[in-house]
Amino acid sequence: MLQLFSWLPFLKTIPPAQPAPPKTEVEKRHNGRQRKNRNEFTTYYNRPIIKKAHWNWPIWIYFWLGGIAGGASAISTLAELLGKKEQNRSIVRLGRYISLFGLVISPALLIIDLQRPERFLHMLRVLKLRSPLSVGTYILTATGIVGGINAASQLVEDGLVPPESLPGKLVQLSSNGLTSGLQGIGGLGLGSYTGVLLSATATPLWAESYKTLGPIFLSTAFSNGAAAISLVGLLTGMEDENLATLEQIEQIANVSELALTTLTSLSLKPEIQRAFLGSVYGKVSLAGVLVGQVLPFLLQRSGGDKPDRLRNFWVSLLVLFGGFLLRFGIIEGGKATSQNPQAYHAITRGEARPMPQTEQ
Amino acid sequence: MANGFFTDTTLCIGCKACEVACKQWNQLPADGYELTGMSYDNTVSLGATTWRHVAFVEQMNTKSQLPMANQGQHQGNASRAAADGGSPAALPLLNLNGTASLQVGYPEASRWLMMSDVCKHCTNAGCLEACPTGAIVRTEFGSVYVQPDICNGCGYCVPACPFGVVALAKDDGRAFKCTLCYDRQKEGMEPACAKACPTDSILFGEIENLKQVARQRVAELKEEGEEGAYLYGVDEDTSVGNLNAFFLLTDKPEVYGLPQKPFLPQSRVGESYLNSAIAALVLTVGTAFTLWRSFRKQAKIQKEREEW
Repeated sequence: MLQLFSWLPFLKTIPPAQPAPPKTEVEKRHNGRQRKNRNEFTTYYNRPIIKKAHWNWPIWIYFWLGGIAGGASAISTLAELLGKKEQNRSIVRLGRYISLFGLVISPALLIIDLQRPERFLHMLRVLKLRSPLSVGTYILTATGIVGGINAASQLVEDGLVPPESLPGKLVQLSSNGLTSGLQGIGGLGLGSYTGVLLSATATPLWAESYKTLGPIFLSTAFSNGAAAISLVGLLTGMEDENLATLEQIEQIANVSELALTTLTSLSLKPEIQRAFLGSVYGKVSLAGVLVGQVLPFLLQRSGGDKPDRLRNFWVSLLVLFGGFLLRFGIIEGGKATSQNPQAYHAITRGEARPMPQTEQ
Repeated sequence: MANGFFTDTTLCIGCKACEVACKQWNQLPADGYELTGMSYDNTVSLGATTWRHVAFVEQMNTKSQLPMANQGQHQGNASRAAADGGSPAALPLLNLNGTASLQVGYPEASRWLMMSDVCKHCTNAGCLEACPTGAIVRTEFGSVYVQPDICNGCGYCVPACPFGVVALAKDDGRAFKCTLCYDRQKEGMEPACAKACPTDSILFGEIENLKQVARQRVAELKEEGEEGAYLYGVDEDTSVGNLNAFFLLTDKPEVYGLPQKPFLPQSRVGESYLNSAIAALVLTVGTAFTLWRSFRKQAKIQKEREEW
């Protein structure tokens, strides 16, 4: 499978796996039990050194939905600030509803993921700036509050809640440019903090890509947010002009994503590349890049400038699907590298300690 | 005042009394009776219910002809041992019956390394910095302690530990690790493992005193011919800093399952935030420009339409 993509530049740097040395007479006699000389010990019986994170499906979905909500928040805020009422409304409206959906589901997913969900409020006991999980909790809470207010004001604007009613009046009083701006900033934080959260661990894959993981996640947040808005927009009759704009935003985010993921995979240490790209999750991440970034880019390029709703539909769907695959692959691939002692030794290598010479 | 452990692996006999004493005092459940087959280590690793773990490194001479099997090679061996830094005085011991022994200073001989691993109670602890609830604190004894009544099982401390110590309990959900017997220390007693250790391989005390003892021990061992002895976790130039539970080792750290140069996962978080902020700026400007251009175009078209 990996050979299929061997023309990709970042795959060329993976050194071929070493074939297992033939068994010596003594090893055969000991039937699998390791019997090694002093010089042959490079790990503790190949056992994992660090523990892996317990995160699974709630976190895969949260990282994806939270990213969509973050991107949609940022895009809808920018659209509101820059456009006039009649032009930007469809983007702003859908952006707010989509982020509300994400902002409601996300905390629920995070609480499910806690092993003691009844104690979720303990998260708000302290604020620790060096703990991205703590920072992220506050970002999610704050963005959820302003996102809720803005979505409620959108409901009033769309005539779903009468403006004269008490809730309608309350919403109009509380929602303004400030809440909109805060949602945009919160969205940027929501899109990127998850990457910082992963990189502030000892897990080899995540720790090694500490410079780019936040930017990668933010780029996917933008592309996925734009894709989600245009997908729902397509189904609810959005103007061609706005669809084209969203497609351009997707493209910008896609280019940034592609550049960052390529750069990151190139800069990984060979042990980590082997542990990550050699695992099934590495291949899923690769598929995520191809499906969510390369394929949409080629589709957009091939289509020309003419608005094409069918192409737009497929591009949005691919971007969203690829975004999920990439996040799933990075989470699970990171967990796989944490169980690989060679990968962890590779990132914790220091100067050798003075050891007496032993004869080979 | 900070208390800690000095674990001298050259004194460890692998009796696992520390594991048992820890389990008993802290009322930790058994982990089952699975045999690993890799060595006498059937505990495998530290975990939520295992706060001491004795590692067994069996370095066996795989050569069919052991160096001592041939008495005629005696002279050669003596000079070789001397060249390796071994003590010639120790050689008579090697030649009792011509079989390999675990004598120090003889690098070809088989040997067992045993190390009782434990939470290191790092100076800069990754778990403590990661904990978003403030459940993990530093106690008055300098140890890192998980408060079970605060922990909500978010599990972020688990991948944040550079030594793979803290873990979530499967049935309970909360994170657990060595407490450095906080309750016993409160009563002025030493931790259960140190109390139970029959060879004083595990020493408990004030860190500064322990360091003195440890340095003395390294010098002693070197004098006796164990050239590879060194301290792990003392005077470390890492972002984790010195370890409140440090070790005397005689082989590379990796052999014992320890990282050569551990790093504090949070030490680079500022740069990660900054890079994300730069990316946010670039993407915001790009998106804003795209939107602005599109809205201007739309306004222009609308204006033309109105003029028509």
